[in-house]
Amino acid sequence: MVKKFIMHKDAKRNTIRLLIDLNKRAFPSSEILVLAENEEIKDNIKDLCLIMGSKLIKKELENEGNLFTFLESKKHFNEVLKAMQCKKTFVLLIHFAWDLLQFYTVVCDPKLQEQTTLAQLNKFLRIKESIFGNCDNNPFILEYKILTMYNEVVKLLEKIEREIVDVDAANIKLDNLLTALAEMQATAKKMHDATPFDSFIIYLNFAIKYTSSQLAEAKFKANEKSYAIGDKETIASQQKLFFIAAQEELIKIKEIRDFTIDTCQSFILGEQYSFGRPILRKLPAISLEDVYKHVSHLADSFPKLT
Amino acid sequence: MPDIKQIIVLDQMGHGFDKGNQACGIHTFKNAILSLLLASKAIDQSNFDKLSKSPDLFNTIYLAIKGIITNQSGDIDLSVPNFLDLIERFKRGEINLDAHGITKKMIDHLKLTVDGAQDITVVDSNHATQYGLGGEEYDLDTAAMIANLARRKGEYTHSFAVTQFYASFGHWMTAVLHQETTGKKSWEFMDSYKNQTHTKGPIVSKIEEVLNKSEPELQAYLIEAYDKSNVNFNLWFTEFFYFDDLTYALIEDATISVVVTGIQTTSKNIKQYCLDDNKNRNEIISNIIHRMTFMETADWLKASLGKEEIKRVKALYAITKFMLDEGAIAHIEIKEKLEPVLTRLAGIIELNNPTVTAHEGLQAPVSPELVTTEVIGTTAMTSHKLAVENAGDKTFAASHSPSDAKITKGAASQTVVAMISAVETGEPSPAPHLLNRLVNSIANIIRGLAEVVTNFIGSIGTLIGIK
Repeated sequence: MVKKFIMHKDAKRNTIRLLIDLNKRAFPSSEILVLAENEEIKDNIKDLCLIMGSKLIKKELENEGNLFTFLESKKHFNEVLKAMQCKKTFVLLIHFAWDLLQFYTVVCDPKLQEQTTLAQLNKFLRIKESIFGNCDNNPFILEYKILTMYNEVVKLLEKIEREIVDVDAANIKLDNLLTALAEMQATAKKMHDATPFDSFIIYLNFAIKYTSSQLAEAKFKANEKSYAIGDKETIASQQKLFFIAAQEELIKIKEIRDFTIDTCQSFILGEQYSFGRPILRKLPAISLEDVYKHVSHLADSFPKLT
Repeated sequence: MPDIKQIIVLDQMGHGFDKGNQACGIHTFKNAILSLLLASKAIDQSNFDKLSKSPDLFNTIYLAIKGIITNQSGDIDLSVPNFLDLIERFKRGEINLDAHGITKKMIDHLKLTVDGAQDITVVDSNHATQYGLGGEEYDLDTAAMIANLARRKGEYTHSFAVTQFYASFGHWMTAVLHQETTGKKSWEFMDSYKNQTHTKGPIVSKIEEVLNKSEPELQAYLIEAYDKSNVNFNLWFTEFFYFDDLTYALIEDATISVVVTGIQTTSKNIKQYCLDDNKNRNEIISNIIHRMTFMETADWLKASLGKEEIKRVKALYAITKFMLDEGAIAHIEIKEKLEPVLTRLAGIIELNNPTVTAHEGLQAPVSPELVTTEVIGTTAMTSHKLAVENAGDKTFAASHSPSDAKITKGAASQTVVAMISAVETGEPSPAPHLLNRLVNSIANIIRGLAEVVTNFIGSIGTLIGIK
């Protein structure tokens, strides 16, 4: 028999208000330690995360055509949340719950779908900051931005290849994207410095480097005809550095995964941000090994750097 | 970027302890001690190289620690309090390493008593923005010690035992700081898990963030650490106690309703709570002494203190005095342990206000700001506090109860409405996936091989075959 999961409306609302209050006061750690001793609050936070996470998992699986794995995925996410309820990681759960609540509110906004470019998305988040709060340090939102940007670059690249975009206009757009990417990179680095073992944050750093290499390709394609040999070599060298940096991030993810298995940790830190699903699930290939081979292949296609 | 040298040490995987064990804390203990022995010239470099990779030395320490920490079964690792306790036990000779050439005499040269002058500091990230601000009781020691090092001139070596919470367990690593006479710093880093290197940069940078603070920044950091670390202390004293605004005397027989974040409500008499309950009494005594140690290390026990520091010294004085006035006769340990603290604090208050003795006109330790901001997990509601709350913007926790589920007015109300609506009735839109076009290598494009990899669908494995 399937046990029906119900969270009381008052508990739900109170938990949301608690998270808003904690965020407003910059997550006072000593108070969170007190909350960590309150079983009811811990359960309410976990349950709220499960409600939001389940809906997002369902949406992901629907899009992937894998809905039949929903119950299994939800169960695994619940296990990750349960593991995070222990006193030592409860502070992580609180931060995660806030990030998820904020992200969930953003993706439930009907206007979000209209924001198809990074500039539109940033403007939308800025205008709605009084409602959503500041989203700059939310890993979910950062992932959303990076993927939006990657897709934007790909669309622009296709236009460049089909020669249906003016080269100057393409260059201006690419330069703007490069500036935005540098800002995202600084945010992701700050997140990594704060929690160096978080595999999701490392994945975000990987995604930024991979997007950088796509940007380099687009820049090259846009200017291929006008570039001198030296320019071509410069941009090719830059792209190689992006590939090498991306490779390094994948190695870090592997190290964390191995460490988790070798030392019997209860979950891979960062996995909560992918709801217990594979961290690379939003890439065309989800296997770490396959993505690593792909990036290595790209890096190896260059003459050795001297 | 700090100068960090990775030292290759014994790998925790293998050597008979690799099956699911969490022994990195013990490896860190070993590596931190060996680094200090090397710095003090008790052992030479070749001995260090040998011992830091020696499974036998590790096994000796492992078994000794397993004999000390008996409340854990199977493979063990260390909590921060365990680690701090073991440093002191090691100093006392309870972990015998004679068989490995490490004698008690060598250890005697190391400062391992956790008193603010020790050679090892434990840092725990705790998801805090900076080390020492995690809110745990031991974060007081961490903050005071790193601030102390930031102020220290001249040559020294200091070991940091760094713990990062990791899933429901954790991982420990060692960072060793060498400061030259000129003030130049260099670092060594040791990670017993496969000697991995990727965490050394973020960890050392985070320690340096405190070490590189200016004096005013350090002062603000120490205040923040003190306030953040003492939630229970605040709850017991600044919340449960209410001192009269004019006389600063405790309101007699005040009864406190303790609302544990909307879950349960109990009423306690202040004196009953702090003195009659053995657990509370001992914890309060220990907290007072610990804060005194913090103040000592943080350089707060001197003349010409800042306004914020003296406020906290006076609060500690008032609390100590209360415990002694009310409990010294019935509980001898209060007299024995707290009388020296009271005398010391009184002296500091007098030093900072020479015209008024500490026993006269002592300032109330409770400020309205403290009362209103330090409430969330547990909320004590006195009439004074209620008045404060009614006058201003309430925190969530202060107004939180199971029946209080309505959406409140105020600055955050738009957010509350949006978030509750999203959770209750919202329909999430799908988040983007990466479009199915991978990156081409410019080198391949130049060589005319680019188009093969565009519009890639299916397994990347097939892509890898392309040359």
